Amino acid sequence: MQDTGTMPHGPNHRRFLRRNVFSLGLAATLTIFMAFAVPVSVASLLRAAPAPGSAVADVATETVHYDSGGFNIEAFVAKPAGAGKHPAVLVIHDSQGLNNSIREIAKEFAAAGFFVLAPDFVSRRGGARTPEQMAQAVGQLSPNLTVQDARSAFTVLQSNPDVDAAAISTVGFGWGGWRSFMLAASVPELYRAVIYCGTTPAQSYDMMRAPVLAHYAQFDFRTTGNALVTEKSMSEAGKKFSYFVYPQSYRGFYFSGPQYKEDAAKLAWNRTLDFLRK
Amino acid sequence: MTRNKRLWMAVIAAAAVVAALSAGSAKTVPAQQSETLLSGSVKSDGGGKLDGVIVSAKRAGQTVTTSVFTDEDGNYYFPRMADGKYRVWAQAEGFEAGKAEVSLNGTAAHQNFTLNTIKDNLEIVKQMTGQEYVTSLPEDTPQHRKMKDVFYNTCTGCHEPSYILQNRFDEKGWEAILNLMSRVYNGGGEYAGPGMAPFPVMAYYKKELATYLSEARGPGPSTMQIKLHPRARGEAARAVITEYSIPIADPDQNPSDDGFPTNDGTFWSEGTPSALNGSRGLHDSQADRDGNIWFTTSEPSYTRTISKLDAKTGKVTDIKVPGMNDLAAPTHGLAIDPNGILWATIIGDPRGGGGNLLRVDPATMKYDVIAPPKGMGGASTSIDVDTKGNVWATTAIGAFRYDPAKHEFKEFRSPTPIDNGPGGSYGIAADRMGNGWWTQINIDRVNRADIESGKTQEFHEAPRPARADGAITADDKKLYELAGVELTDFSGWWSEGPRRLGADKNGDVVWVCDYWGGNLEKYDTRTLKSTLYRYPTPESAPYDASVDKDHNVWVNLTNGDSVARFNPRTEQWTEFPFPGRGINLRHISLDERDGVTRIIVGYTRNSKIARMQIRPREELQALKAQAQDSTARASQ
Repeated sequence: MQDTGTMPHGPNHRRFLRRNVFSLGLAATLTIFMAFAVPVSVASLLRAAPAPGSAVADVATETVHYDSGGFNIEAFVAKPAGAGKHPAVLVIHDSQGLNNSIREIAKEFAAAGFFVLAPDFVSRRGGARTPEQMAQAVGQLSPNLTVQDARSAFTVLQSNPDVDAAAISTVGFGWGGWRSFMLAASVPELYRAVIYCGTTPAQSYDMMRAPVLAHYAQFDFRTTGNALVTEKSMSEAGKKFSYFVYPQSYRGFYFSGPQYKEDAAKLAWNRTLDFLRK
Repeated sequence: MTRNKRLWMAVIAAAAVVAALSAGSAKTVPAQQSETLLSGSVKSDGGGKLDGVIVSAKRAGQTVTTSVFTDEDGNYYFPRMADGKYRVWAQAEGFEAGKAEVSLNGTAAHQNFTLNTIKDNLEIVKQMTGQEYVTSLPEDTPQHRKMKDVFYNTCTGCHEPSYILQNRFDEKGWEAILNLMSRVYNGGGEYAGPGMAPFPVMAYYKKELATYLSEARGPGPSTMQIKLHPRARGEAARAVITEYSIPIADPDQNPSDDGFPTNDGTFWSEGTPSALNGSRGLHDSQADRDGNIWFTTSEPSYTRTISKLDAKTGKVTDIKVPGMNDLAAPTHGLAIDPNGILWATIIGDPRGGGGNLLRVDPATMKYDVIAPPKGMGGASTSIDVDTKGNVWATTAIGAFRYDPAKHEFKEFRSPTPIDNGPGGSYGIAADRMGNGWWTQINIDRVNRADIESGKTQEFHEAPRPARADGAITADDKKLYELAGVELTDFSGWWSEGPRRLGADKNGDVVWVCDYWGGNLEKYDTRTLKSTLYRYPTPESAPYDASVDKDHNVWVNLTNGDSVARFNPRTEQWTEFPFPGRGINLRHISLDERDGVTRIIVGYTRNSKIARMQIRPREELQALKAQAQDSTARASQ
């Protein structure tokens, strides 16, 4: 339920039924219903950024591989034009995997001047091809190992000669939001973190130095409702946290598809760029 | 092909032969068996007579328990029971249960009990109902009132308060419980993984609530002020309650020694039982024209879609309607039409038949599954039948009416449709004029479909006053707004929670139960005016209503382990306690086929069906006279 459109842990069938049975009177499963019934970002294209222009067309991309604890992780790289060191963004995909939506946003960030690395976390499971396979594989990944893979990706960026190692940020979408937040909580060298509809880690923020910006959708209640407690706990820990709630929007408002909301998507995109460029 | 014919073609699995699985270990009561009177008295160890004590008797090897109450003199009189060996026990809160074994053999039997007073509050607490726990929780300070609200509105939508509060934990312990609860799938209880956001209200108030609960139910002195409910008196003490133990649907999946739950709430000192052993799932229950009781099962099983309970023998016969992966299709709502045909809603995954109607002829035990037309919302939960035999069922975004004679469906949308989830429709009732009424529990809406115009209108219930009124901050309000509490699984301090409802088929009234608010709300079906009647202990949580032939309204009190009758003429309530604890009543129906009003309820959590009947004074007087006569003869 981290994202819409997929099951997080591939439960057995009986459990699935149990959750959908109206047995507890309160039709207890709005969020579960949404998890199954509202696929948001399957094969969607990112439209959060302004319409692709020549800047995006000029972005160079390539597929790279890096090591993470002995595993070979594939990643999509988008490079900004121009020589010299660039600020970087580690993009963490949502529950649908490294699809065209994520590649497009990687290129948008590159067009905006950032060196982008977007790991394919499904690499740990041998990769996946179809949207359904990707979503299923993402749901089967170990949470902790994905965080480890994100940390490894951060290390890769740190050693890249085209990257300004002091300005490496992360942007995570949905499923990737918790991982971006975890990265911020465990990697003091991280510059900034942006969370789109992501969950807040329960762990200590002692090591965190990166300010965090969160974008929440009004109707993504279970996640959005935690904005206040996140703000409170971050404040008590002396960490910087700011958030925006986008009215009348659902999780996935930043991707094209049934939940896309243009005004909210553009506003969140501009806020993200402003935040990363500070 | 006509539309009607096409619809009829949608009827699935017509007249499938019942795969009747005889379940349970009930034995048929032999014919021509003699019946014997059992009576006695109950007093306390202090010597005083105890009235309103529930005395129960269960015959060895049988699945039927009969319970009566002591009168104002502390005496009880069972209806005549078949001869045999019985376990007999007497229970009253604040006292240890009295237990005995009695053989009935044709001679009137006596069994007296002396109940020992429990001096330790920790032991008394174990016996309490959910309502008593909540009522006893402290509300002496604004913070206590706020936390009581948070607890009640957040935790008790899924769990009986007694199930939660019978446990004691220190602050860290309650925090751990809240941590876990905040991170499970609601409805199933499985841990959702670290990437899943916690339920916001639990996460936000976790520490404050853990403090509050640990002070009330922790290792140290308790802040609770124990307030026990009055015992049954007067008419309520004349009730006789017959409980039928229902075998666990899948004993191979949920092992127990004898196929029944290990703790079914019978003995109060054992507390509210866990429902993790297959004992939960029985939902609506309804008597057929022969007095046998049918019930639905909302938890998935491999054997049980709808079941017949033989009211004489206690034997249960399951009907399995194929669902997904060899499972039986689960069901929820159940009602009987004017022709004696039973109608149920199939719930769960549409691929397993969820959304369809189930029609069962109790005489032949044959069933049909009837699917709404494509594009129309499927049946979601509750069901009712109007006086003309039209079947009304809730859908995710409203309701539909099915005319069995014409095989026609008609759909109605709620004016404020909330697509599925708890914002969706829950209870339904058809009024005398044939209009449909249904509730949206989480958004406090009661809806009415006018059958003539086809239009639907809604009534938005006024917010109830908060316990913590005045202590609610801007942040509290912001939290509930961001968490979308109305549209998710919980309620707010303002929620009335219209849950299920019942129509007076001989009058012009629909009665709505406000689960969170603790009210019964009367809607005049002609003027459309509504009147609120607050239950004296609102934490009893009125759930469903059924109206008898005399216009009295019978309400099951989920947290009270009881039912109550509201007399609209006198506006007086009478509460009738039931013998179990944590029984979690979710539906109430009446059996008035011979002019006698019998109340039928299912113990959702404890796998029992119960039938209650109030004995006329004359009947009790006759039993009393016979008992006194036999005592006199025995002493000669």
